[in-house]
Amino acid sequence: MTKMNKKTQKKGFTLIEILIYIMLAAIILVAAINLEVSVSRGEQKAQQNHELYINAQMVINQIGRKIREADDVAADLSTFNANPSALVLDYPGTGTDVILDTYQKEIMRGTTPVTITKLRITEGAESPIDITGDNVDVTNFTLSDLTILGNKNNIGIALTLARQDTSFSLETAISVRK
Amino acid sequence: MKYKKQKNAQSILEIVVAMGIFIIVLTSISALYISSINGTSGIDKEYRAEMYLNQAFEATRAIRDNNFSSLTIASHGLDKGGGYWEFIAASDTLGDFTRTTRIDEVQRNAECAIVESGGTVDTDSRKITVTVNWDQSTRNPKTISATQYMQNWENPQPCGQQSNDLILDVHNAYIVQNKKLRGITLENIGSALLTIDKITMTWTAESSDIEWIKIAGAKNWDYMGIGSPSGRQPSGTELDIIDFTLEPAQVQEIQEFKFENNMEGSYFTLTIILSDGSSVEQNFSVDD
Repeated sequence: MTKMNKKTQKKGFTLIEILIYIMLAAIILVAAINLEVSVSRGEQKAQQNHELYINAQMVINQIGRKIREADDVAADLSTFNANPSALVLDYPGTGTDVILDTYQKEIMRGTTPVTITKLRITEGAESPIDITGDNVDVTNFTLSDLTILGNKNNIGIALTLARQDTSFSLETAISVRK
Repeated sequence: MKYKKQKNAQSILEIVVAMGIFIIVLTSISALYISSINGTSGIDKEYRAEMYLNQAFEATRAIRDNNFSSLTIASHGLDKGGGYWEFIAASDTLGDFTRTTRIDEVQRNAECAIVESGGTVDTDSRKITVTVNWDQSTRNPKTISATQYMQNWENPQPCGQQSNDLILDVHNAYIVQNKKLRGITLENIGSALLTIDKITMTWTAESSDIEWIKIAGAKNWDYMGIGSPSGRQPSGTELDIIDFTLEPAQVQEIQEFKFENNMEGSYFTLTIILSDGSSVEQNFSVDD
């Protein structure tokens, strides 16, 4: 009897104990899966954001350099206060204009064709060069002429770049230096 | 039996404790991960703030190019509502961002190098400090700030001279008893003493010589022998006066210039020469 009793006691956990164990294990598992999902989503978003900043930085650096080096802004040939805007710059001594504008391009996102807007720069008779990547859609490129009459040109820039489920907007201004 | 039962109860407690610890660890790790991801997403605000900072410098440059005197010593906000950049009240708000453009005077030493204090004020330079503030998240205020110096290239004055610190105001000049010119003020806007060494006055009124100059009560030059030369002096003579010292921030009205005859309707040129040889000059006429 005593032996039998001992065996029964040794058998282990009760049903309730096992249920509690399974419940706790399930909670932990669900929490772990949620964490993994949110981390990977966050990483993806952070990566997309990073690509947007790099593109925004490229655009502002390029446009900034071109505006600073220019002789003058050809205001009559440029488009201001509209999305998308366009900027035509006169360059000193070269007789070459620099044009900053946008164009539409169809790209494939997985198997879906998507039309995006890209920013490009055209120097004189050269072919246009894209200054935003294929992963980035320029959803706002609005320029404003903030020049005080009779002074050096000052151009306001409002830019929004988008990528899938994230977007990035910024605003700045650049003056002609010459 | 008693012993066995106790052992069983302990093991379920152990499991619960172990899981509890595990959950705590998991929660802290996940909180850490999530905060690091949030940190990454805060970069976009930092970059936007940087762009607003650059915008403020470019806007201030545009305002400088138009009129250097618009760069008044104060904290400003910026506005482009009128189609060009203008300063408004003490700061401007751009969504979540608050931006302040502070303009300070610039001092230079005798070698023209910019110094924080102890130099003379360079009225052709301004120190521009732009600060952008925003809340990264609740109770996490952030700020970025940068400084640039801007110059008045249109009309630069020599730097490191005492005359940069002297304001000669002739707008309120008037004549009393036909012969006494009053209402001219001197102001020391610098942080060092200014010593007025000589004064030259020219005028268009004929047959009238200067007889004395009183700056603050006492005569600093008199034809009877205070200062040199002595005797009544014609227009354009450099008068070596008894030196007059102007304290920093002191505003001093020159009590009077006394002439021999009627000076009404005359045009004047007044030149104040300081102890370092630099000078300030103003042309004016006085209404009858």
